[in-house]
Amino acid sequence: MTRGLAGWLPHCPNGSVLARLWIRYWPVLGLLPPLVQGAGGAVPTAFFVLVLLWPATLLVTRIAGVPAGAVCGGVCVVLLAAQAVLPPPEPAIQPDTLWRRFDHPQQAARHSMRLPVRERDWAAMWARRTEPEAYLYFLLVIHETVRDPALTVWLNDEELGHLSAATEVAVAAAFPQHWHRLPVRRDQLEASEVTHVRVALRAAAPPPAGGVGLVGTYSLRPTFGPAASAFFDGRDWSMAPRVVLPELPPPPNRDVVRTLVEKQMSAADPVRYVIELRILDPAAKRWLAVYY
Amino acid sequence: MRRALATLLRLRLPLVASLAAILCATTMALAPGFESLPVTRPTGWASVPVFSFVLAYVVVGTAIAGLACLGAALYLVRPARWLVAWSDRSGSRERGGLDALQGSATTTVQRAGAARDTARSTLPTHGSWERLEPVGLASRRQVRPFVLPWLLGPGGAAGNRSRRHGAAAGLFGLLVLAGGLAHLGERSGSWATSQPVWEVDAGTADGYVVWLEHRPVQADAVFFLDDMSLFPHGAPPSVWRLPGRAAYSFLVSLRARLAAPAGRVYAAFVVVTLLFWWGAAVAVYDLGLRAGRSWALGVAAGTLVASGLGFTFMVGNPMSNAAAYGALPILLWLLVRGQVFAREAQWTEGLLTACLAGALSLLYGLVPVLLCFVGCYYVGRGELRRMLAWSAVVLGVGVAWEIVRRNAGVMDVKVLLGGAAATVVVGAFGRFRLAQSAWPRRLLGLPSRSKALSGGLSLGAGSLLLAFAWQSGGLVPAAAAAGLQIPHYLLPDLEARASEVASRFGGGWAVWTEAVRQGFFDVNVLAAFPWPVCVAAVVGVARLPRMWLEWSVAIIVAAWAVAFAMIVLSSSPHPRLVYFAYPGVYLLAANGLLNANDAVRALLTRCASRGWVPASLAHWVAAVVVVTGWLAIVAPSHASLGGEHSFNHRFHFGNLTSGHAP
Repeated sequence: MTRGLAGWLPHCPNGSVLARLWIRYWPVLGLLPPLVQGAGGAVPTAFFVLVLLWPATLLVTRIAGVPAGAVCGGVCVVLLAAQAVLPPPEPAIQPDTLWRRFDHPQQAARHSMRLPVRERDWAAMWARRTEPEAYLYFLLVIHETVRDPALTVWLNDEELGHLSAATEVAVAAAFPQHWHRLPVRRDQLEASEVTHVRVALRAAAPPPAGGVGLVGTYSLRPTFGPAASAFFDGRDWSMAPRVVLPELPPPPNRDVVRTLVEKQMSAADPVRYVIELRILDPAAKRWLAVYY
Repeated sequence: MRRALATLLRLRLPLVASLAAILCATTMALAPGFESLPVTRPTGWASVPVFSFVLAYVVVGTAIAGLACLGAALYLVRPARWLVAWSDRSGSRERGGLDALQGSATTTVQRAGAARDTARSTLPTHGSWERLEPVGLASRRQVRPFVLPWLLGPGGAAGNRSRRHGAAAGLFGLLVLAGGLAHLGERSGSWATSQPVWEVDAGTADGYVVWLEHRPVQADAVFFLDDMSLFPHGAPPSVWRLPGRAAYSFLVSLRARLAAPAGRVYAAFVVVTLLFWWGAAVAVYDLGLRAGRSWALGVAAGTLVASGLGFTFMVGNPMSNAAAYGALPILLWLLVRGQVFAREAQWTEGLLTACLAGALSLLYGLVPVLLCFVGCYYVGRGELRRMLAWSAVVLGVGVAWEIVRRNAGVMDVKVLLGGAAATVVVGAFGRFRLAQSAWPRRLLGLPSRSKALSGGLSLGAGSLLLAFAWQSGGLVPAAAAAGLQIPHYLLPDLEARASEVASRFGGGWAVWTEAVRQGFFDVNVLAAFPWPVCVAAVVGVARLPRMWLEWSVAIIVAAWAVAFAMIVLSSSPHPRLVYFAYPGVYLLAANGLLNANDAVRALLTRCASRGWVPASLAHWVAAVVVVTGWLAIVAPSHASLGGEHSFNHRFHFGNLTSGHAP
């Protein structure tokens, strides 16, 4: 019987009959777990096993010999079995776009930055032939019925200006997010070691119908440190991530990411409001530096 | 007809060069801005000769393919000779059908090639490095397992060769590992270049980003994360984010289950990418080894791949681009080493190679490049019927995936398996019984149980596809697009785009080439292959065996023709598609480095013979030249580690403008 079976196998001078049988028929074993578990949904897995892994194993056998082919088949079976046994991977995805709306006139948001005002690169940047222009950029979430966000910005307790329709920047952003900016002078930035930017509703007025707020995101390298952003709820300032950015649904075109984010977001992840200082070369229209 | 085809094949490159020169001269005479060339070089001047060469190659290649098909068709109308050819496999002199034309042309070319190779084998190869025995025209059965001898090689010369192979593979592994680790996370070029550069750029300071395990990756990676989670239990068709790249999600899903308990899904993506990258370096090493019959050429080519700009740019991103870059030379290597289009090749191996090619094409849409390459290089060098069958299987895998994906979860798998098993059994039995009859045996070839099994499998697969297509109704257009892997965002208005392109061409040759001049070379080719690579590749054209020169040119033309079509249809630069030409470009560039070494050594040796310089200086200076050239080629790949992101910016967008929108 063994001799008869051997006639079905490709001519390979090395390797036992069992190894050669294994190389030829391992997909039968490898596909059993996913097909039993997943029924019709496992057909994509079966497809790639039959057109990718199985031909690869047979070609490895032709090139590197029966032992290599058998090992390759064994590895494939182990990986397929692991799919059936081990729990599915849930990649840890940190939030990239969350919203913090102002619900109450007394609420305020703050973001702090520690700018490198004492460093040589900072001085060299401002000593360019064409003096750079500095702007504070704000990514706001504004309901479609709201024309004027009616927000006031303070820089180190000094009122800097108001965010309105006039401060909106013509830069693409996923709806209903909008970029706004205010110019800043160099002396204002160098006034203190730490730069605090505070945003609140104008003149403590009620929030516009539909809502307006700040967009927040995961914080990678904040210049101030992990707790760079804070939120004032009318009584206290809090830097807790879930107070800074409570779980709000992200923009509707990221439904799948919303599911993953809601499952994976950790209270320990540092987050920030999208308030950034950008230094512009006005001649080249190119950013020289961006800080947050 | 055979003689005409053989002549065309022999004179292909000179003919293409001549035609390209005529096109180039005509363009420069008609287009404005070239009046004072070369004193004043207008922007994008290099696009004209490059585009002229690609166009001329495509025209000549099409003519050769047409001639081959015509010849095959002419023979088909002579059934007596055709049947005799099919029934006689013992090497009879009677030839006919598809075999004859290709076989005789191949024989002519092979004899000429063998004569040249014999002559070259007596000439000194690059430097004093080891000269390998000629590969010759070994048939498929002499494809030796070369993996294990690398590790367990015998002693003597063979053992030295094995140890050199192992050393080379180890070197590539180190380069790939170091380069990969150096460009992960925040150092990933594909993420870093998405950060805003210009005032009009959209996005936050962190660019077009999604945060995976506290690492910034380009936001498009979320599509692969979502598709990865669909294996092994599948999902309705509408949930697949990038079905045309599902092979990558499948391979990562196999690895991710083991990595997930440690919270390292990102590592699963990186491991798959690094394995493909290393495989590409090893494949190009072996191809270079055979091309120049020189271990040095193989090592040089392999190290260039192991330090390639496209890989360092994409390795840190959980996307399939880098894996697709790695898969291409592996498939090319299989075609070369397996000689699947040769008359002696087994159909089984062709089927396996085609299946693998079709499946790996589902990493990034390699089908157009592969088919163009096979058409450019193998027409006239192999059997046309094998090429057609191979191409049909490659296309069929993509179509089958589209059909399977749309029906997964809809059909009962037990019914599916039962129907498939029954079809295979019936098909195998029928094929076996048919093959036992005398008359069908003449038509269908030698009977054997393995052929019956393979025939049954083919019938079974074909029946399943037909059943799915019948059930799915109007799926054929979408399946055809899936087979050719046309990007989904082009499909809705493909006809309108093609019409708009045709109307532009109607403006005349000068208008057309002016548009090409502005964007093709500087924005696309130079972005994928910076100047040191291009210069080295041009120098490498010399002293490369004709067969390998044609091979390199074929892969370059195939990749650039497909990229050019995408550039024109999408009206945006695509350096990342142009980069698929890297196996040919890096092989030429490696040969260019060794040519420079040989030239410097020869010059200094002559000077030393006259007493002008010390004799030992020749070797050292030549080595310095090679190392300097290699560093110049490799430097752009790692320039971002030193804060220079212009190379990555150009590779990402074709220019220094990101202009990226979330």
